[in-house]
Amino acid sequence: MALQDRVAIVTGGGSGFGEAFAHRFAGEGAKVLIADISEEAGARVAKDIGAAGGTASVVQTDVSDRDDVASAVELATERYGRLDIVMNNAGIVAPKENVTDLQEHMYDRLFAVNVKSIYLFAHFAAPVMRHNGGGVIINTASTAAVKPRPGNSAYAASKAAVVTFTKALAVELAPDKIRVNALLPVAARTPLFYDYVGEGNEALVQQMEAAIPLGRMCEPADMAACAAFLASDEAAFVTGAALPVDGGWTAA
Amino acid sequence: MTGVLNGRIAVVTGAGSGIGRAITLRFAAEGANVLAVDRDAEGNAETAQLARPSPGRVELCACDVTDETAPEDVMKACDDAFQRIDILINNAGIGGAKPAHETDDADLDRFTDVNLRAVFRFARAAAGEMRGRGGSIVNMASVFGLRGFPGSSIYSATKAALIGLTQNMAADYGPDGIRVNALAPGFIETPLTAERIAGNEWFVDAMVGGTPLGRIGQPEDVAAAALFLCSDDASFISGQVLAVDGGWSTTKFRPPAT
Repeated sequence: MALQDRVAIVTGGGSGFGEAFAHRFAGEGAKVLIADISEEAGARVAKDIGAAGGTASVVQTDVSDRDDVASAVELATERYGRLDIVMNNAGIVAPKENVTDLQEHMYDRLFAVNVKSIYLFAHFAAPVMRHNGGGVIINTASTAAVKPRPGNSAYAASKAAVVTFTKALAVELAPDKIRVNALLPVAARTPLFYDYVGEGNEALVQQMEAAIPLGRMCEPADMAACAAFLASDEAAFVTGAALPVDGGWTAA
Repeated sequence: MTGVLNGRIAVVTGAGSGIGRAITLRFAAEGANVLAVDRDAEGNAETAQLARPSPGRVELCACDVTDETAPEDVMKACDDAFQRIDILINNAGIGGAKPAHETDDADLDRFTDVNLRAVFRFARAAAGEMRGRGGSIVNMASVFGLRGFPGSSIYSATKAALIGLTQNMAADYGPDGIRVNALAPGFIETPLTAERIAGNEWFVDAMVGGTPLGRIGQPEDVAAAALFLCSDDASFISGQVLAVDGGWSTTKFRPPAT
């Protein structure tokens, strides 16, 4: 198993992509700390992983809160003895609306959850990983970072910041053997996606799907499979990459 | 052995050495049957010899990829040996370019023929075979196709062209279930780069010194990435170029250790 005995934090591991990351990492032998704003959601996933024979637990975490992030990093090392992988997945979208309607508090929240979290986890996890002799940070960006859709400007900008943060951290942390990469998913049918398009907006979903060369939306399992590769030693010479998981959408 | 490619059929060009050999060995180890293509029959035979303990079978095809009938010949050889093609690793290529003002028309034609024309023709032939049932094509680009580097003129240009080809074929053949991606190796220790390294400290300093992870890559690093791209784990990845470069193309700068 590619991640045998590695210790991973998966933020937002209680639903959507995060749930898939947690399951895949645990399935590859990692011990997973699910850091989710909803303790209940995280606990459900941890329980499922345990039932499948894996190791996982939960800590209630607001990824934009300094103390919460510091505690999550500390808890991972306390509980599992080390920290090898941080999967920065927790993120939010704003409902689809133009910049003239976008409220300032929503803009601030987008950057706090989607971008500040990258800073906080790198800030607290990098010293621990350095002490371990290396590690992997994977950030969930979005194809919006390179191919934005209308009504989504601040979200797109926050994800572009994640891509640049990824590259800058890859350079800065390389001497500590910490690899930093990003995944850029196209839309998937996750709870976050429906926060953006609105529940039941299948017409828009079909329109999006038709524009993707492989003809379907992203699935959480697609993201998890790519993250498993980047987190493993198979990708030992890959850092600073921003890999779209988008069925060819950004290429075409 | 995990057998990620159990039962898959792959064609690997330039299989007789370096990255192509590493990919052939890794794919065979993961259960794929591989048609190893190289104009260097001796190197190719050595690759097959090294693959003998593997669960996958390696068949040899001695062929210069620039031969006019090479793509069709190779597709036929693959069909004869394995009755199908699932994966094409479009890897054969040449290096050793010079600055533009020192590149004559013969050089220009040679690089274009091997690194672009042959790759296009192989991709076209494989896509023709794969239509209707899907497949995976990986074109071997280079970080020099992403960034400029002194003395790489026509080499960089051909490798950048492969990235354009990759994006466009991904769009054209996505509906057929054919995924098309590119790899962009950084500084990898192979016979091709050995020529360039020999007696060229400046080149080595510039490449390793510009690689954040601070080492020369190995063919196995690229083989692992190729395996990922051709596996079901990458079933939603198409039209992408993945750099396997220790961070070189991100920065060309290696920070001091902390």
